[in-house]
Amino acid sequence: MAQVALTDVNKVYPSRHGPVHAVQNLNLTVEDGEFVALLGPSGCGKTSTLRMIVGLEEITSGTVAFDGRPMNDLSPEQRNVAMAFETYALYPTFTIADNLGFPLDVRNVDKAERKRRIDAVAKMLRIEHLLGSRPRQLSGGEQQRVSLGRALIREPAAFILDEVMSHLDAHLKFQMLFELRRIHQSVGRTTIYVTHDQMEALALSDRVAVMSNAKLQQFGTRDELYDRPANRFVADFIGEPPTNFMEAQVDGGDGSMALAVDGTDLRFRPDEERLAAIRRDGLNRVSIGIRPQNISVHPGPETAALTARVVLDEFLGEQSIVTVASGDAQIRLTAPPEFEAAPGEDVTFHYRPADVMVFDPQTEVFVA
Amino acid sequence: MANLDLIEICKGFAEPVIDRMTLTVEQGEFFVVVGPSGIGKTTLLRCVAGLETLDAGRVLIDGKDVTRVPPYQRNVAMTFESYALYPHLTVFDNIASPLKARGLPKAEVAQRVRDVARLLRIDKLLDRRPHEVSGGQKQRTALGRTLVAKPDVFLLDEPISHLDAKIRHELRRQFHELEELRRVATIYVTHDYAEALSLGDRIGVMGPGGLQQIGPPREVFDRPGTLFVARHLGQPSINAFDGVLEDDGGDLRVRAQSGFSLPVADAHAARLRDRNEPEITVGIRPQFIDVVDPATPTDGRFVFDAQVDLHEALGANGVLIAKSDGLSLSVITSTSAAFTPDQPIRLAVDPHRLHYFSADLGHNVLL
Repeated sequence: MAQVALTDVNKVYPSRHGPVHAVQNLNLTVEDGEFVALLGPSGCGKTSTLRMIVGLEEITSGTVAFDGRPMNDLSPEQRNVAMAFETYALYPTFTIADNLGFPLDVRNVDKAERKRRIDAVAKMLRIEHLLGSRPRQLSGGEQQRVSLGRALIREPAAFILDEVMSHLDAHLKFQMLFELRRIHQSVGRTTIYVTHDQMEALALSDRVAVMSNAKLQQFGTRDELYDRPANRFVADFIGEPPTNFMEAQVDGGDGSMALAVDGTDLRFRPDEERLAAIRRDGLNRVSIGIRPQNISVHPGPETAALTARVVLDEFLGEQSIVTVASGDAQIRLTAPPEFEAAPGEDVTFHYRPADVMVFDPQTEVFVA
Repeated sequence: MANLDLIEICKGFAEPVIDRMTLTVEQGEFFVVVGPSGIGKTTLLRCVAGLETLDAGRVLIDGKDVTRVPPYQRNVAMTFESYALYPHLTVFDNIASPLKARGLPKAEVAQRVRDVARLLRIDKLLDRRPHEVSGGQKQRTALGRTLVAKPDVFLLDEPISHLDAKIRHELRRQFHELEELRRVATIYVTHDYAEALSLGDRIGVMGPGGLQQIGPPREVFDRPGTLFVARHLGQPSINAFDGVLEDDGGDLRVRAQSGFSLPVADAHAARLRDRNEPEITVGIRPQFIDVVDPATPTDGRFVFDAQVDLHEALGANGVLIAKSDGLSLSVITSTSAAFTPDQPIRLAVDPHRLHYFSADLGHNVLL
């Protein structure tokens, strides 16, 4: 078990078109026993980061340390990090027990200990009944569990899981999310989980590191990322259905200040904390972000109301997503599944002033 | 512009995949086939397109039997899951390829390609090659190539399932808005139940052998004909357990082997008694179980004790796995709710929300 700390880490790849800065001044500390996701779109630098932690990639500058010990000059074996990949990479001719035991065989673990650890990992992953089978007899989800088991059995300093679920179908992925969470709760070992899927990242992790354009954009808990995203990128990348963004003019004086959305007659009234921040920064124009699940067709305590025309009502089973339009702006909101509205109808929707996120339109930085 | 009729079609490989399926998709209808991976959804599309030879049955387009007509004479257009774009051709030439194959005059080809590209908002990308555009734009190009051909029947195979969640929302809206798609008979295949519910005028849930239920999205979701259908629509999946019906001083209850039991709603009791079959599978959707505190009015709901096993905040809502009398139940919660493992909680269920499926075949016995 270990704390994993990255300090001022940079990765520069040489290329024909000049150096490519794949990771820029990354500072990130994963605490001992913590489950952290490295989340971002493809090409954001997360895979380079992961490869530097494991030791598969040279660190251009900066330090990677486990429990305070610099790892820069140690080989992947010496670092004792276990990795599981998107592809299961099981040995097809070995039984499941031998696939699990293989990392121990190369380390000359004695027979009784080998059996004890295989049984313990199999029990944890609920694959005890499969130990005598071969990989091809297993479902995709079962193979994925064996592959995780092979990482777990080594009792490493940290686990690195690289897009381990990206090709599982939705139902299986859902089950695996809970399975992984359960495993982490019982093993309690430092885990770094790399993914481009925000739902996976949020569901599994204690904290999420959001990366884009070679830089760490924000490192925080789900609630921090949801309610106080560092910038527009994070607000846009985190959340499904996607956050609604609108450009607006700051309108009215102290008592009646509101945000008038361009090309519409919609005026959002944020709460006092946000208004104070707008005044503090002297903004005349802002970008507004508001999440679909924070807009409802029913009023609640402290909500304000607006009206727009229904464009689309999508019934999705557990909920509906309603798209409404006013002038040039389209806004998605969520509604209970029994709600039905025909395109063209007017609908009144309700939001809490505290849920209006305000961004600087130039820098795209979160204002309040 | 025409109806599509499938009459008693059969297709199998080592085992039957489609077993005597009959289906009419009307002109202007958007029909979505939803089912797990590997169940035969793509095979169904390939049969309609003529890329597979039927073992039995007939395919009719506009009332004409095309069972033995080769694919290129059927006027059916199909997009593939993998896009199948020509890598060396520009977006323009990719979209134009079906028209060029038919030998249409250049000016008309250019006009039609530009119209379709504008519709799909890829008109600024016409000079690029597939590797120079995003996944969503590749999908639009593949769709453009299908639309430009003006076919009688559209077949769309998982067109958006490999794209990021955000682009999927965009493209779903686009499918709703594309009137071209709403003028012909379309079969759209997906494994994603939300996509199916959102897009389909009607949906068909495919299981082993064929479509297990066909109907409007709300009807299929609210009144699943089989346990298979109920399980495939919804996430987390419907909670289902095997139980036995028993008389409890004149009231009917259903008891699981673990000991967990629920009362049967009066409205359901007569039907269940009439069957005279004590074994039953009970289904309850995770969104119809509520976490309540002692002050919450029960409103006729059945309230029972449980313990927290796990809780995950998943974006717009949370999912709680709770244990009660040895049974594990998924519950959809709000994200603001906080739970710790082993915490005692109280859950409430409206007995009218329960589904009952026959223990042997999984048929919904209340329908």
